[in-house]
Amino acid sequence: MSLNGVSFSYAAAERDSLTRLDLSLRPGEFVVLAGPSGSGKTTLTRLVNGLIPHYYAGSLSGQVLVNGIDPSACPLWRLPVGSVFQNPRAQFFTTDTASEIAFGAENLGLDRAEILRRVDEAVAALGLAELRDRSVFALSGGEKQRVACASVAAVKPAIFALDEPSANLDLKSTGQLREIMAGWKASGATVVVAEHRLGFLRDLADRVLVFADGQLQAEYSGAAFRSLGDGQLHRLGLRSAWGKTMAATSPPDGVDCFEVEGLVCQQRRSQAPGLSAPARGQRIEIGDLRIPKGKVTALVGANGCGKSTFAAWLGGLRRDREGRFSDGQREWSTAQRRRRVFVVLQDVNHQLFTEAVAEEIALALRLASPTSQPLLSVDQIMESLDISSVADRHPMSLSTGQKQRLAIGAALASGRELIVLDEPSAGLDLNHMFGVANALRMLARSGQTVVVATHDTELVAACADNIISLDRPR
Amino acid sequence: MAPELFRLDPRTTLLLVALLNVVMFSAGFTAGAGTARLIFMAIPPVLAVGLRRWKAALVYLALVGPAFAFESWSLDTWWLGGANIVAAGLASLAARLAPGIFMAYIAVISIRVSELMAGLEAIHLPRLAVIPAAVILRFLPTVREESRSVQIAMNARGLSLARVGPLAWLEYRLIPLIMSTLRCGEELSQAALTRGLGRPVKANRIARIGMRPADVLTLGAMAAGIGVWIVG
Ligand SMILES: Nc1ncnc2c1ncn2[C@@H]1O[C@H](COP(=O)(O)OP(=O)(O)O)[C@@H](O)[C@H]1O
Repeated sequence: MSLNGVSFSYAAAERDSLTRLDLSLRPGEFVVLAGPSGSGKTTLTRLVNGLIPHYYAGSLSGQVLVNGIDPSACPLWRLPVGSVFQNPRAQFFTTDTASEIAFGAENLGLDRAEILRRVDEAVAALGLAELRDRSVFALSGGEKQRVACASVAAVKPAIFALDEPSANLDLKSTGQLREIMAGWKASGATVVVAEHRLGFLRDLADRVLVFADGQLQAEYSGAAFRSLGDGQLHRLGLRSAWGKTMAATSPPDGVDCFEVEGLVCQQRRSQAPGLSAPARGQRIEIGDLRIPKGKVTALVGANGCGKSTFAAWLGGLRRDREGRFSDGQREWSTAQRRRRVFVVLQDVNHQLFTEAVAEEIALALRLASPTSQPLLSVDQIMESLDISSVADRHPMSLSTGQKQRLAIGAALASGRELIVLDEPSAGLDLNHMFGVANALRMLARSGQTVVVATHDTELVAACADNIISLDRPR
Repeated sequence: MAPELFRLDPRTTLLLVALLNVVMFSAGFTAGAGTARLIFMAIPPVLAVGLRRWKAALVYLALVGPAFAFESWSLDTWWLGGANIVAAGLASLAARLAPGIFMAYIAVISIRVSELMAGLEAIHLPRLAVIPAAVILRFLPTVREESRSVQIAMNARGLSLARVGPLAWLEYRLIPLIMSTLRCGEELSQAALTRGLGRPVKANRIARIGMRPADVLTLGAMAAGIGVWIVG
């Protein structure tokens, strides 16, 4: 695959999203595209898989060759490229997993026996046996992403193009995704992956391309990249490629705390579809814990340990009988928590209701109960979260990081005492992650108590005063 | 998903949706027509039980049964007068409308997208008809999922009907729903395109379609219904 002096600008955009890019990939190479949001990584993956120019119109100049074919001169289905996208929810064309895995192979016009053989092969290679005849609506995000990978693998493309495939995944699923990609690499396929989370790709990368403003800013061999420290990565605007360990801390006695006692959540199916809920029917024992007031507390723990369930319970969005919540003096019922706790759910897109950023904050101020704390003005809130420049924009036109800060702005405006956030840094680049971390500190400074359920060690390091781990008995 | 024994070929289900509505709205008041309606009315709840939708089947029976009984009874006692005519009309409307709606619901929850595509492609419908039908079926559960998520988010924010009034409530409910559904649609079409949906070859589908015992029974029941209608 090669690009020669390629520039592209989307039809609606004023400036180029990629500028005069020269690049050539060797067959079998594993290439990671890194860089801040908006730097052109996704655009490059779209050039590889042919969505540019076949789906996204715009002005394209220079020469692109994919396996010796010019994508703009032939129909999209002729390209030997398999694509995996960011949002695992929306890449399924059918509703059951077996047909979904077969879908690409079916469209090749292969005969039935060959399709079934390829499905079996993909299922075996990706370890999906237990997910084979299931409704796609009953899968977790990680399971969906693995099924999407299997569907692509069954087509046997020469090139795999992935666009932030781990953005919505937890640590365990990311590990499984890594295994899948390692398998592709071992089979000799070319892999191009745009990602913010570099840790899981560190050992796979043959080459790392760092983008900034539509241009190739730096290029590292796999080995050179692995020798970079966090400081160097941060200077490039990249997230850390090294996991940090997080030790749980317990608040000292005598500190004013919210208290949870004897909580056991019984997971029922689709009770809270907005949250990354563990498998159905599971009992999640949370037990007792203390949340210091006016501080930022990170809620960490391996996947399936109930972070999201706990977040929903705190917000009064679940009605589990076992377990009590109090503010140190008085117990809060489920209904009270619903009024006094503000939850920012995982998919922020469902929680922005109005047509402009300023209006969203104003709505939250109107809904705030008059008994809550002294309120800031719309402008002050937007100023403090660095979203004033987009005050008149539609919330849905914002970047993920801006949406997340807007949701935090609504939390701030609500004046509620306890703010709970579920994975607020999912899919964010370094600067947006720091933006969220600062916003959380803001909330704490304004006297609100913040609980943030996350597996993002950098976010924890950047904002948490206190860490609660749900993994082991405390 | 439905137990295998009760699974119908998607084409049987679609034929049932069509014929059931024809019978409900064209059958007159002869004895044969009444029997035909009874037969067609009875099929959807059986399918619902097969899909383990007990509650839905019960609700349906509790609504349609009395409505149909009242309609038949009032036909013989039409001399009861004005109020009775209105009541009979309403009962008749309910008894004729509800089975079609319920059957459409059964179709939506029971047909898999993959089977629909396989079934419609097998009868050589053009791609231009198959893909939109598949996309609509694919999207109904997505819209429901998204809608639930929006409702939870509204609860979390305290955006209740009582608090903000019906107009604003509807707006807050619909805007995020429409936005996220549109975005899903875009991502879905990209995923489908990059997986060769536009390729001009005949795709072999692995979804199992074709006549099975449940189809034979259902088609038999439909034939019987149409038979008594024509004869009687
Ligand atoms: N569909 C689109 N229409 C118009 N502009 C777009 C579109 N997608 C991306 N862009 C713009 O192109 C630039 C590069 O974006 P992108 O390739 O998505 O970067 P990245 O993947 O690194 O976040 C950004 O300025 C972005 O706003």
